[in-house]
Amino acid sequence: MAQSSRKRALWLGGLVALGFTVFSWRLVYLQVEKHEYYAAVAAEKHSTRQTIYARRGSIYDSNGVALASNEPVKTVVADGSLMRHPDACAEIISRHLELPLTAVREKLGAQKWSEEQGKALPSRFIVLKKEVSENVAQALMKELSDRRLRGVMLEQDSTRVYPNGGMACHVVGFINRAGVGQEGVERSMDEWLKGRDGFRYTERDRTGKELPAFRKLERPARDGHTVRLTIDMALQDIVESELDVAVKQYRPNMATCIVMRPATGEILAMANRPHYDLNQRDGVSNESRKNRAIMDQVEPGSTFKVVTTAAALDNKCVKADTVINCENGKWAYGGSILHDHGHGYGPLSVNDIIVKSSNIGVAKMGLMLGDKRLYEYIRRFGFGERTGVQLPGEISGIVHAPHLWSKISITRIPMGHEVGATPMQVINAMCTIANRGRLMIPQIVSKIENADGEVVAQYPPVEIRQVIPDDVSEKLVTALSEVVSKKGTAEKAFIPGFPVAGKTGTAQKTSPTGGYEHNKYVVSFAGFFPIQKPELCILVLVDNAQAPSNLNYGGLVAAPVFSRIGVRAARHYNLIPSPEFMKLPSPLAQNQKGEH
Amino acid sequence: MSINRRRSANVLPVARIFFTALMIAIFGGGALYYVNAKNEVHRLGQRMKTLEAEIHGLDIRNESVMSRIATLSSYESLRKRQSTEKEAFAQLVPVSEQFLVKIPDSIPRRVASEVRTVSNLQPAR
Repeated sequence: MAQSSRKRALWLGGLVALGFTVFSWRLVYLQVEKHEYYAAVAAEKHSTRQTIYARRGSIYDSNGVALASNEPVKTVVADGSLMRHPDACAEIISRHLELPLTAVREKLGAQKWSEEQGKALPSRFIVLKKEVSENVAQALMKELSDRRLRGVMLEQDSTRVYPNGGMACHVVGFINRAGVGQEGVERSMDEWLKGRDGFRYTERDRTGKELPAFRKLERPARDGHTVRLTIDMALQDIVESELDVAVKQYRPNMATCIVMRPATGEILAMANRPHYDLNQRDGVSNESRKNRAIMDQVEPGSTFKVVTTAAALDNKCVKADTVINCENGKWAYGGSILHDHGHGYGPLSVNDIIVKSSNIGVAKMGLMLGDKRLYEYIRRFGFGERTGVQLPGEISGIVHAPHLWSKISITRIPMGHEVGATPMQVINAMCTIANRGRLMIPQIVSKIENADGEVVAQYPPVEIRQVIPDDVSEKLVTALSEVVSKKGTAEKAFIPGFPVAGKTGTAQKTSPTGGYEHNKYVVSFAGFFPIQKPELCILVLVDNAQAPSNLNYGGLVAAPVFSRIGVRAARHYNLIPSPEFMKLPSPLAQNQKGEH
Repeated sequence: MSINRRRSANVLPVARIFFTALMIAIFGGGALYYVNAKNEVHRLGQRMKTLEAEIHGLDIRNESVMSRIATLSSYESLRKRQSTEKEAFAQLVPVSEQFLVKIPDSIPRRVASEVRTVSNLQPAR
């Protein structure tokens, strides 16, 4: 008896031990083997990763005028499952959001097939309208709340606004729907502007509400930096309004104007026509979006003669007073005849070749230089390569190497034919002469600041190279100052009170099919003032102005625009006029003043 | 029952009761404090959330107003106003040349921080 009860006890004990062993094994299996899986399931139910969105940085001009900023907006969404009176809701939504009533009803009635329930259910996430202003959204919610209608919610969003609309549109650029810069400074400075999103791991209760007490790892968002440009919007306004006047008068295919400070290479204004409104980009053509100042190349024409003359003077091929026979306006070379504009000239000094813009004179200077030296100087002035301005899409232009030149290239390139240059390259070359031979990198971004206003990056002036010596640039300035006189080709570029130096350019338009287009010209004027200490360098370039061919010259179309901009810009910058320059200088008076 | 036995039987275990009461008070107090602290954490969390929402709302309002100011004071907007509300700009007449006095820059400009004597240009009486 005692033995059998002991046996039973042993069996019972064994069974209990086995049971505990099985449970223990299961426990170890769940806790150790399946730990990660169940931890993840638990975390998924309660823990969430919340993204903290960074704000995109703003863009300002040099005086703190906002060019691009963010505006908080709402996205109006609806939950069909919560909506008890869709018709009443639709009427209110349609009225506030200015949407057609039928379209709103259709959206609210949207259904989604549920696999679980095997039937179509009202959609739980319906986007009614994006980018709704705060005031409109709040008014909508108030009326819905007053009438005790549920199911409509607001989601916070942000949109990019460009307060100045079309002004400086090619400089500022824009972003796409994903917030990535597409053009202009928005694109080139995207890395600085976009900021970095932050995140936060947090827990939610059964109803989905966040439990702030259980917040875990958190990385705050870093808002985008502020980009300050060298652009001066007051000057930009002057440039744009004058360009509009010129466009209205001449109805050209396109027009470009750039204003730079020669000593530093800062771009103070840059405008193109056609242009577009940055806030209304739908349906804008690619032609309007193109920043022609850096993306378009033209044959610069006579403005290029300064490069040839600078090279000839620097190489001691000629002096300022060396006389060259300009063949009375007709000269045969390499089986082709080269003409001068108008009636032609006989012997002219190098100075006068610039003043009168003689093609034959500079062609002969090109021959004196030889192809290699001419090519070297063209490249030294920055043609054939990007200027390095902080804008996207800049092209390098076309300058063929001497081994690709034809027999007559040496007579055509010196006067600005057979080369492709962007307006930016042309003005930068003129700035080099104004800046005593020093070529600078054009600057459009001045500095980058963080959200606290501390400067994190600065873009000081950068000198690329000394292209020509000081004395050569002085000789050129003297010649260029005579261009803006009764004797020169740009009488109309005169700015009362200031001595002006500059060069006109009139080039026949190249045809896409080869050769040149008849009676179509690209006219330009590039100049600077005051010549003693150049403060502003302005380029005005007009493509295919609708003017009679005998009036379609840089000196008659572009120079007056230069003058009007110059007069207003001088007032804006408080440049003090000199009484001695109140009248257009006569050539004699200028010669007496000597070289500047 | 002898006096000594009664004395021994009726003695209250004061020390044990005190110890038990102390332990209950400690554990009970600790538990209450824990619950209270948990409540406080939750309450402060909610308060933090409310304040965060308030700051966020202010940020949004500030950004919205800044954006509106930028739009209304922009050159483009002023241009539009100039063309539509002519009477508002009636006073802004461009200065013509005849009203400008051109002063030659004969006095050399000086550095702002430079210390210099005051010159009296009026003749002595």
